[in-house]
Amino acid sequence: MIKYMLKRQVVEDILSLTFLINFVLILGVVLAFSLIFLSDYRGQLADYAVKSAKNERTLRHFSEDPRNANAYANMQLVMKPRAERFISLSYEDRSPQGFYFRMLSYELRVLSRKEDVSGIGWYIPVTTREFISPPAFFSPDLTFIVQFLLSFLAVILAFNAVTGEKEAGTLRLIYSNPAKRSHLVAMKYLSAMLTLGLPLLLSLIIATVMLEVSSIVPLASGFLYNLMMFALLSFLYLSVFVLIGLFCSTVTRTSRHSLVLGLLFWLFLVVILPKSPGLLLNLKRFDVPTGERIESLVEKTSQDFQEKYKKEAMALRDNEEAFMRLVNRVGPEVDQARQGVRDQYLTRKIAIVKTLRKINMISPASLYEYATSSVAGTGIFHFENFWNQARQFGNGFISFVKQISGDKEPSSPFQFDIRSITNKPIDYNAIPKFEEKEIRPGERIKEALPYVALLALYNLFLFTFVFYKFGRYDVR
Amino acid sequence: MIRTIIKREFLDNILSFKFIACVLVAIILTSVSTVFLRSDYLARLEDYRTGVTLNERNLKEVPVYSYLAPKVFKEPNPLSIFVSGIERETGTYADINHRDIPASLRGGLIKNEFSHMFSFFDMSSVITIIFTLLAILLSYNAITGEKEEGMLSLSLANAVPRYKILLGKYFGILISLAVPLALLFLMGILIVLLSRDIEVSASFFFSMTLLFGLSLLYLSSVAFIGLFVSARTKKSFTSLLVLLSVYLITVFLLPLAVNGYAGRVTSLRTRNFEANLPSVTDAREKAIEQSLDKIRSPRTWLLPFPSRRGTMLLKRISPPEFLDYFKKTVRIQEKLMEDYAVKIESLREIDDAAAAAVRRWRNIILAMMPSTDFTRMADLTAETGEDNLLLFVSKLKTYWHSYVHYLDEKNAFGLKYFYPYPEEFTPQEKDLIERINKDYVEGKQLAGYRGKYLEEALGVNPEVQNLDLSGLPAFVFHGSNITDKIGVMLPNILVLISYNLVFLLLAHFSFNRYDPRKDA
Repeated sequence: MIKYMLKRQVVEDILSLTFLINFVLILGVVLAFSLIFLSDYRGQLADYAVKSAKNERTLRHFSEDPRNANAYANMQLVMKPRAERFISLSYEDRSPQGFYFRMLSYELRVLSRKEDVSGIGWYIPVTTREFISPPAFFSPDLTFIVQFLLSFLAVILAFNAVTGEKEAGTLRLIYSNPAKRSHLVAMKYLSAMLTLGLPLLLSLIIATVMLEVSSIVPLASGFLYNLMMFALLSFLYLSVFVLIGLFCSTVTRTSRHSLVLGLLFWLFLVVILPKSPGLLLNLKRFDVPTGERIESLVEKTSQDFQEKYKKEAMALRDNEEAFMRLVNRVGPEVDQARQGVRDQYLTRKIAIVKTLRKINMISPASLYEYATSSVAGTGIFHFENFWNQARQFGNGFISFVKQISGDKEPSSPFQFDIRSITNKPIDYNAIPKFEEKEIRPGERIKEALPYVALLALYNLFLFTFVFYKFGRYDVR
Repeated sequence: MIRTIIKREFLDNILSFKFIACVLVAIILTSVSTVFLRSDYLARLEDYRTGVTLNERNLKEVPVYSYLAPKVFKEPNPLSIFVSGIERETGTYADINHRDIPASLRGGLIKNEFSHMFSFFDMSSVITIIFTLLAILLSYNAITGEKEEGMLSLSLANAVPRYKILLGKYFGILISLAVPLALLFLMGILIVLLSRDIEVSASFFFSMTLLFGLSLLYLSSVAFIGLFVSARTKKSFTSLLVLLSVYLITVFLLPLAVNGYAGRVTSLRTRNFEANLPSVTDAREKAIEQSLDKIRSPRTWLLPFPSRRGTMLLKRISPPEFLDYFKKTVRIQEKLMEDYAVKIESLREIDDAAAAAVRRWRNIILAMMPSTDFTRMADLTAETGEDNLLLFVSKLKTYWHSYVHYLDEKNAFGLKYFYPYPEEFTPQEKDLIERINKDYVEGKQLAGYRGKYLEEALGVNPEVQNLDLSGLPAFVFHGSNITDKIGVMLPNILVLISYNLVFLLLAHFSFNRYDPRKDA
């Protein structure tokens, strides 16, 4: 019986105008987004290659004679663009791109999107030549398609599951057959999920084929695994919206009310709630200084040190050797204090965003967004991991420089004494190089787990509620 | 008769669940966002005021032209409380400096780079997202719903002309939208008026009125589209489905795709600056080197470019032939820097032209859709959009030219560039010069001089005369006045008006042929 009903429902759904319109819409969006992603990704890879080549040149120069590296010698440690950005971009195109690493000090400064270090070492904010797009509500990736479009389709498919049958008068007919109420709800739920599975599957296939054909993205097994995890998460998420549709259908008398209620739920949970916490950023508690202000605080730290050691330095001003010894001793300390200021604010910024994300957890759309971003290894989770790697690399590089300089320590970039470094050529292969390591799948799943658990709880709660409510529904 | 229809429609609407729910959400969201954005505006205003006073104070204490570093600030607009636009992302001030033509603003207000996942709600997005939905929900079943309930045949049986029913419906919907919208505007204005720190001028009220009118024009076009779709379909559900798809596409998807695509095209086409900058700067360095080669350089014992006060004092007590050489080189070097700034700018201009071409196409495509028309008009009214920023930057460029003209006129790279003190030496200075020259002649190691006479030189403090900068051109930016604004947004207004007219006619004709029977 239930199999028969399910078949009828699925066929009816798939042949409906609703489904057709949405299906075409979703296919169009997937195609458009794939094209946008591919052109974007190509550009990102080219930029990454340019930066890597620049880093390599710097290191070659350094290996010929370490004294070639002056106080301002730097490398740009940027995040490697990954194909997973198509699964979940998580605003990586608008967030910081990596770090600017000063080779002979502890300096690791955030390289934001609007900042570009040109060949001659100037900072050029590229705002006017660049296209200034208004703050985007969403980013073009697969997550958006499921989070936004498929959830909408889910509500539309489920909103008249019960009220519609009642209005058509078929509900009583069904009941006159020996069918349990719980079977009916389960059937409605399953048919909606099956119907949603079709566009989801197709968009995943299109995405995979597009990436494969373009041949710029090598489809490793890792990517396919991520895609599979993404599909599972999507089902968990869409199930919430199907249940919300069913919920609206069971708490209202007419289809019209049910649809309006469902739409408002959708608007609130998908559009309004995930985006509103940004307003709280204006609160004093969540306020952080601007980038420029942070840099001036960093400068102030240096000045404090200068004040502190002024007397000592003045006393040594005729003794060059002793003066440089002092500089070499204090230099790393100054560097670390300066870096401490930067790190403190960066940590704070990330902590603030994480707190605001917690508020968002009421919304399944946000939970889904964070879960996919964790599984794909993008977004703020990616940045934190990258930061750790960059820090490790920085410390490793500094200790390498110490090692080649013997007992003398390289000093701060501002009172830099190049003589503290060796001038003999070093083996290029021996220099530590930065290579971003991908986050392990286990770690990613661990990060996603709380979000997944909450989504599952959402499902469970709605499921029991819908069953309970429908058990008492007046079928007349 | 038409009045009765309007009244009935209006009462029906405002008592419906969808109306109450949407308006409630809109009011909560607008009040919360207005309160938060108001405090954000106040913070920016404070930054602006302190920046301006600090700049004025700094300009009063400029002994030499190398110290002259005026800043130009962009005043935040009180309307950014309602239409935040891109103002918060684009920076607040620019440094004016003869070496580089400012092409962008500094001091961006996105303080937290990781917060992009929460974009901001303001009143304009409440209108485009929630009021559009409300307009759709009110109009989708205007005709189909009546038919389904069997009311349409009844109305028509009363010898009411069809156009009157249509207009009655339309005005009923429009009034039901206008009343909560007016409420939101009044609430917003009240929040602004109640805060003592915000001074509002007459133009604020003008702009708010304009914004209200434009919102209504936009919502009216949505209502007409809704009526048309309702008059073309047999079932309410089909009508709603079509309208919601249009809503999703025009409010969320197309702006995202068009802006995203245009941005990518622009970034591909604006590589000229990055590609050619190194060659131009190399040429500049070479030109400087060549012209400096012609001047015979004396033996010097100081770095050629002092920046700190201490070294500057030492400069005063350095040998006269060195000072002479120094003045000449500075004049040549800085003049060349200034000339090359124009060349660097011409590199940017090619990119800017490419970006402008893409922008034009994007604007044309976006002007096709009522929702994006409204967004652009709101940005223009509030002066928080891209057009305003570009206008500001172009004003900055004009200002740079007048600034440089001023420097040239004052012969700024001459005597008064690095040399703030009177020509006459004090006795202590004479003594110091004598001693330094003696050491110098005896051929002592130069590196050993680090700070040897510094303390003594710092002790010598001849009176510094500040420059008279009364002739310095002032930067004035008032934005555009209201007629200019309307002129710029005229195409968008015309598109919206034609949307209104076309869909009025389409709805009229469709409704005339509409089959009012319940079972049809």
